[in-house]
Amino acid sequence: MPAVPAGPRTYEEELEFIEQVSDVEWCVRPGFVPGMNVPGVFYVNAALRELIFEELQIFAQRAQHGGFLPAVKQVANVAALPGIVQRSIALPDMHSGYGFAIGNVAAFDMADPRAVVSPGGVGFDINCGVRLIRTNLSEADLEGRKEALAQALFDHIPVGVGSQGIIPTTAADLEAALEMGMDWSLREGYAWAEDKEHCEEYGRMLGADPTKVSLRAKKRGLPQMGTLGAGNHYAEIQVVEHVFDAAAARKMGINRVGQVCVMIHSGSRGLGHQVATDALTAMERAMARDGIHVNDRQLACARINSQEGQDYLAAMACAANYAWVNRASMTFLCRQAFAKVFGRSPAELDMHLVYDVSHNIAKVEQHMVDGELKQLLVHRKGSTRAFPPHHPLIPVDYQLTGQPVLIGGTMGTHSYVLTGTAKGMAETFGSTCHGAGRARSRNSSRRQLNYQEVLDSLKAKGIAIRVASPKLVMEEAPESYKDVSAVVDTCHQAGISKKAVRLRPVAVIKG
Amino acid sequence: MVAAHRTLLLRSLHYDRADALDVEQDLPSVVAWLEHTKVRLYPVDARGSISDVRSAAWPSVFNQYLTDLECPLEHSDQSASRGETLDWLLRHAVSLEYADSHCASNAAGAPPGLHGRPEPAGAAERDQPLSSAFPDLDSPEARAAIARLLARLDLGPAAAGMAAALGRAAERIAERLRASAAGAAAGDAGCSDGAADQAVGFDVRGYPLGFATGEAALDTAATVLRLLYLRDLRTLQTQIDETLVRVQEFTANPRTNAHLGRVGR
Repeated sequence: MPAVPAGPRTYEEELEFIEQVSDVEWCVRPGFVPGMNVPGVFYVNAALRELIFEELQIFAQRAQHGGFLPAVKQVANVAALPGIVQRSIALPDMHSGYGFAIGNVAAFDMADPRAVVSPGGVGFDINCGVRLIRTNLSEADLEGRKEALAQALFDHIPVGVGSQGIIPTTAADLEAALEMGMDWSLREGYAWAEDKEHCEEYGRMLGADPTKVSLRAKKRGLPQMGTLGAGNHYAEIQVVEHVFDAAAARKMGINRVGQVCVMIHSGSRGLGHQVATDALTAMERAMARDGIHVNDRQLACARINSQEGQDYLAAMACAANYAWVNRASMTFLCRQAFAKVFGRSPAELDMHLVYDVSHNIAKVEQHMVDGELKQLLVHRKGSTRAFPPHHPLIPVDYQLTGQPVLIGGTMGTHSYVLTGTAKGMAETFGSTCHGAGRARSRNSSRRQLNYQEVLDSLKAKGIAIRVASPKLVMEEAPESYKDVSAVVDTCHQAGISKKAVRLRPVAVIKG
Repeated sequence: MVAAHRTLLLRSLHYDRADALDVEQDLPSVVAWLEHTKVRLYPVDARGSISDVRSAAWPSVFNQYLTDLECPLEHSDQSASRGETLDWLLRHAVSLEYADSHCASNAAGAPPGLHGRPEPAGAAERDQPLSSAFPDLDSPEARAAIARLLARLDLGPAAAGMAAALGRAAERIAERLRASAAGAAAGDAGCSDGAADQAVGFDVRGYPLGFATGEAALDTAATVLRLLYLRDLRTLQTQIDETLVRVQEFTANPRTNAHLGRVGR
């Protein structure tokens, strides 16, 4: 192992710690940052590699001062957290985030009293996720109705910062929704029984305790139920462009090219953000008390067994439930919009939920670690669970195909449905990528892209678009992101998930 | 009022006045009718006395008739037991009728005559396996249905008889199923024919087992067990879904209020 030099390392010195394992897998050896308990691993192919190394090079040239940490450094800092097992994993869509890189998976041993939970490892938008609803319509059925449909969706699902939903929600409703998740939606009639079946965790985290959610968070969440939000969240009408795995697709009710689907990408809105903010403040105090040292102040964390740790997990579960209710409510609204435009009931249109995944969450799961079955707290930030065939926690319909993984592209680009694999279960705690991953910061996008050009290019592709704030559209332009196909191909090549279906958007609703 | 079971028995034997029978008054004529058309115990020229329903000797003739039929009932002259005797006689007649035509009756799925139509098809056609499923291939409904089926399968009209036409239709369906199953097995994902999606060839080896025992036969058996388990699990999940839907009938009341909506910036 190379000696750690006293001063800032040069780019070449940094590279000595990074080793290529296969075409798409790289290993970051302990020593890359101080105190690493386990190695780091990242999955990138040749096309995505540039960005990662370029980021590190710029960081080294700056003599490690100022600006944000490169994603590789963040992955290594996570590897230095107490109680982490096996390795800190970064997926091909990795990019810098708050504390943890987005696209980072880290698992902590529940049996280790030092093991921690970190809100940075979940993200501010708790249980941000994607759901896919199929229909029995074909692209030809949209002919002449695309704009009407986009408008109907836009009317039903309020979007943008500060938007408010059209489902009347009382404070008591909110309390129940936080505790019950999609069971609340079911009880109230906003969801179908089959929706629950096809949702990660069956749409409800059982550890939820609404008394652990601050009044401020609840106040933010109350009027926002059933709204998309802003940023990279969207509702898209998509059509199946290519089927890679016909057997898996058939299980999902996707049986032909041109079939129309609806994808909804949203999270827990202001409520989740407030839960994370509240927890970070509490955890800073806990770290001082328990003497927890981390490489980066943003990696605020608390021991899983501490009061702060337990409180965060209970509040996080509430925010996760809120996000599922939110997506279920939008599904209800979306079914209404389709029924209105096509004059047929949602059941007649076969608008069943294919699946609903969460890509910002921490969950207690059982995994094999060095030949031993262990109870782990798996943090997935910008990473999707991808359990293999026969896993007991996936729905019966997907027992033979593996869990569907929904990868939302960016505005105007492809989206994918993947399935989980046994290799992913062994290598990445059953996790895979979550989307394209940002290549350019929001500020840099605003400086370099013109929003009118972005809108025009979508129009040229025949995509109907409704946005609340067109002037921010360039932040989410495809140019600001990595190529989602390269990200998905890397996961497929690494064997941690398998391509099933590719979709392309025909109408986009966003904040 | 005629007992319901008796009416049914009489109707099944196609007796004209099944709904308005008076046992006391009509017994002799019913018995004579039964002997002539259903039971046929005596040769035609020996049926004179049983047919002579107005004769004062008829009751004793009837007693003799029952004895000859080996009726197990005590055939006294009391009217209470006359009803029972008649019932026995009717059942006996039905059993004789059934013995004569059980093939056709079973194939029809409903007792002949219930639809007021004569018994179907002759014995020659009944020997054909296909026609047993359609005892009345020559009825207008059956002809129309077969014509629709042939048109759907792009086959010409039934020139050589209905049974032959159905045989051709069955062959054509089998061909198409084979073709589409082969297509699906070859991974024809873009197939837009709805029927083809159902017709996937079943090969246990195509399903992932998740582990390997090293022995092919054992792996196959384990895979079959997996599939059976999944079928049970699916049944359970469906029951759960159905229960949830039943509960929703009491609890669900989804509402929306468009006035609450506010688009952000």
